Amino acid sequence: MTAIGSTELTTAEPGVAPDVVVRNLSKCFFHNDQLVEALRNVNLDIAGGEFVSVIGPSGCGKSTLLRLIGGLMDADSGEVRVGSRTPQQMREQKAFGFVPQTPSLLPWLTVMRNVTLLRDTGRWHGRGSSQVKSSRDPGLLLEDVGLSAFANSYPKTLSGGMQQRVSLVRAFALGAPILLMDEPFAALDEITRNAMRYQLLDIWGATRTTVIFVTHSIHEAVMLSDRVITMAARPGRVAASETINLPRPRTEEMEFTPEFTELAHTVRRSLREGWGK
Amino acid sequence: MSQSLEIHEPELEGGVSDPAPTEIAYEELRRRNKPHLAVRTLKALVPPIITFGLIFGAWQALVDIRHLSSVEIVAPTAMVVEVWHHPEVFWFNNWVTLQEAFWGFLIAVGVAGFGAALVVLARVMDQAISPLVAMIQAVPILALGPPLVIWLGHGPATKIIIAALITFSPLYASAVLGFSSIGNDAYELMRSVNAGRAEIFVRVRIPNSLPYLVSATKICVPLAIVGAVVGEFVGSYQGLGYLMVQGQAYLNSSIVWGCLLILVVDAVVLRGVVSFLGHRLLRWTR
Repeated sequence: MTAIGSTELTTAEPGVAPDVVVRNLSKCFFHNDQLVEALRNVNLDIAGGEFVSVIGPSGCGKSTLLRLIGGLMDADSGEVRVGSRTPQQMREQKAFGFVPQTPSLLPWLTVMRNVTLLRDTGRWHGRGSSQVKSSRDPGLLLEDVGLSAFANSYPKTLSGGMQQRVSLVRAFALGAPILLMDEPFAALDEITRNAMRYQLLDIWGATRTTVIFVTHSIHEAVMLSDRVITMAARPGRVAASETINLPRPRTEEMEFTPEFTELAHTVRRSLREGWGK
Repeated sequence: MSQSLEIHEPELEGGVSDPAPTEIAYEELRRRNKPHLAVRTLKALVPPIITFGLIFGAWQALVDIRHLSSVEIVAPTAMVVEVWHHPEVFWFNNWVTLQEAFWGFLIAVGVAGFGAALVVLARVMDQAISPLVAMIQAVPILALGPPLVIWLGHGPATKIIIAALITFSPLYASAVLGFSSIGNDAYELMRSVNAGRAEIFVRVRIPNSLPYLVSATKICVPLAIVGAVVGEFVGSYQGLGYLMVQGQAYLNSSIVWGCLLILVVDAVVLRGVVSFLGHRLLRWTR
């Protein structure tokens, strides 16, 4: 592996990331014979290249929203548009880099094979090959997160934080224009989590893909995002949208500024108002 | 060893790292952690040798001191002597039995794997197949010997079918569990890059089932042999089961016990082979 700095990773052309438009989206589930409205009339506009966090209490439908945008389930009514296409079409083109809550590495594949798994998958039936050319060098990405020494190790020999880093690299290695992250740091300890947030921003800064990041943490949402969407539960709906106008790149010092605290308060307030309704 | 040591290296740069242990201290630590192979082997072998020595010693002593007739009970040494004097007889019949057990097991793997795949891939098939599987599990397989001999005759087919039926249940249960326990996150991850059922099955479900199938195979080794032997009891003209029936008919207990000795050795050796191959195959689980 040649020693090339992380600036080399800036290969994705700007303006390639498509917008995400959500209109009047509703979705219900049956749970123990009871109808649960996971989402009711959700409207959302996410610009290409934007880092958006979705935050809300348990059961507010934020994971459901993520899955509807990613074409992993179908809506009852309303629609999602990603660029000019439906989520299903985008999924078939492998346009989504999905980061689930658990690392979900396949234990029988080495770290490197796990990282390239998504790139090699999904070409068995037709169309799904158009995204492959934009995929990024997995070796460089592993080097970026300090795991190149573990490329040939099995996941079991890695700590939880290291596994989650591999999971991030796996999504970025796909080179997808949209990243969907479902509380990826929720299971990590506070120190690892904080380090991971900055690592995520580092890799993302080189690509400027669209990121939709579901989280439980107000601090995390404010620290990472261009915009924070707060949601309310029963029925799941969008409560507010706060623009986070902190400069980039984000630094640890910013987390202690009055502006940061003020933004965190605003998000907390809109969450509380969502509760009250 | 070297891999597990690597993990303990500091993960993040910029931290204060401890001074590296000197080479001597490192060697000492390694030795204390992992003694020499000969020492480890000896430590592992001594306790079971003592256990078996006591049991077989007491057995031998009982037979020798009380002068028990060889029809009632056969001394351990007599079993070995019996096998020693007629190796070709025992070897030929053992080979017949092992082949029957092997083919029975292989058929069971195929049928159980196919059935489990259907059940995991389509819910309708689960409803259609599960009652049948429950029925197979409820039938006392060994009691199927007599009707199977009537249908299939005294040839190897009867024994192969019994060995297949008796090993089917553990293989089927572990295949269903292995195919289905892949975790929702991994499933959605594969779906998110447009993987279909077939691709998820090959890339995720099959490798995921391997540890389950290896442990099921360990259970199935003695089961398959028992199935074949029982099939031979019911009606046959060769195999260890046949030899045992003949020995009993002529009140020659040393043949019967010689066969038992061979069967035990078979099961132990084959289990060891399965363990070894499983160990190689499942490197990633350690």
